[in-house]
Amino acid sequence: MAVYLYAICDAHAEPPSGTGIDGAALRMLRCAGLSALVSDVRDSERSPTEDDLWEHESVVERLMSAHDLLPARFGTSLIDDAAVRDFLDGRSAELHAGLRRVAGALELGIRAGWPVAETGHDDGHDGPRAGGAYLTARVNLQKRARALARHVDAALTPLCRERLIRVLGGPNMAMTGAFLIDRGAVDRVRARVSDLDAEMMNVELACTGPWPPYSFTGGGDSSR
Amino acid sequence: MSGASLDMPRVARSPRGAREVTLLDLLDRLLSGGVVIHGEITLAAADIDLVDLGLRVVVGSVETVRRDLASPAREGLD
Repeated sequence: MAVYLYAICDAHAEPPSGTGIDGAALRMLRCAGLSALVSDVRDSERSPTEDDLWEHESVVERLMSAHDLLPARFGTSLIDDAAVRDFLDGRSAELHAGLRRVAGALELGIRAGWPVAETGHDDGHDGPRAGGAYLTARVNLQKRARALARHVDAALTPLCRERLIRVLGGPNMAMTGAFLIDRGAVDRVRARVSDLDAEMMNVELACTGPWPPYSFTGGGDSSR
Repeated sequence: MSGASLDMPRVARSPRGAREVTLLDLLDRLLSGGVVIHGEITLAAADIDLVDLGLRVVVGSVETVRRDLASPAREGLD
């Protein structure tokens, strides 16, 4: 029976209450001083749905309310319990290091956008100069997005352990960020983001989360 | 949202616009982040392509998800 993996914790974690995807029972598999939260896959043929995404997230967050953890990427399933234990055993050094990195921490997300879509134009341009003006406008938009990202980064770096900033430079969305912060710092960081939002005209800054530390597991996209 | 506790489930209390933003954040994290069993399954594509593929494969029915595709440039702060 295939098993679906939600997250990895230390040896003493107990499963959260409730069930997992498709109402399957949640259970812990243990090896190498680690625990893996899994549930049996009921129907391995069906396609994943948006509800499955929320269910995965719900399970991981319930576990995270009681334990530090490394969340698994969505859709991770292994052939059986033994395969899960082999995975824990084979990757134990990396997983223990990963748990140390996120110990006592959560992830907050930041999105910064221009609520009135920014074209980057300083004034209207039509006709044969429009192409050049468009490119200039796009460059301006990138510059403004980078400046905004630096400003946000400078304000929040003192409050976080690690951060990943992505400059998008689009007409609606300037940047996104992921911040690894102490569990106790959530309210403080949200308040700081709220202050920043109030300070800046025509910038909308929003905080999402807290999230499990997906962006700081070291096992995902290295380009993040 | 108030307090330092995790707010669950996020979607139940979010207005529609906020839910769309949160769905993008959810997809971004669940499909591009987290521990992977086989490192080599990461698609050799820019982050945005990975999420796009994830959207088509996983969330085909969610027609309201929008994403700013205006700039494919992925730059740091330098």
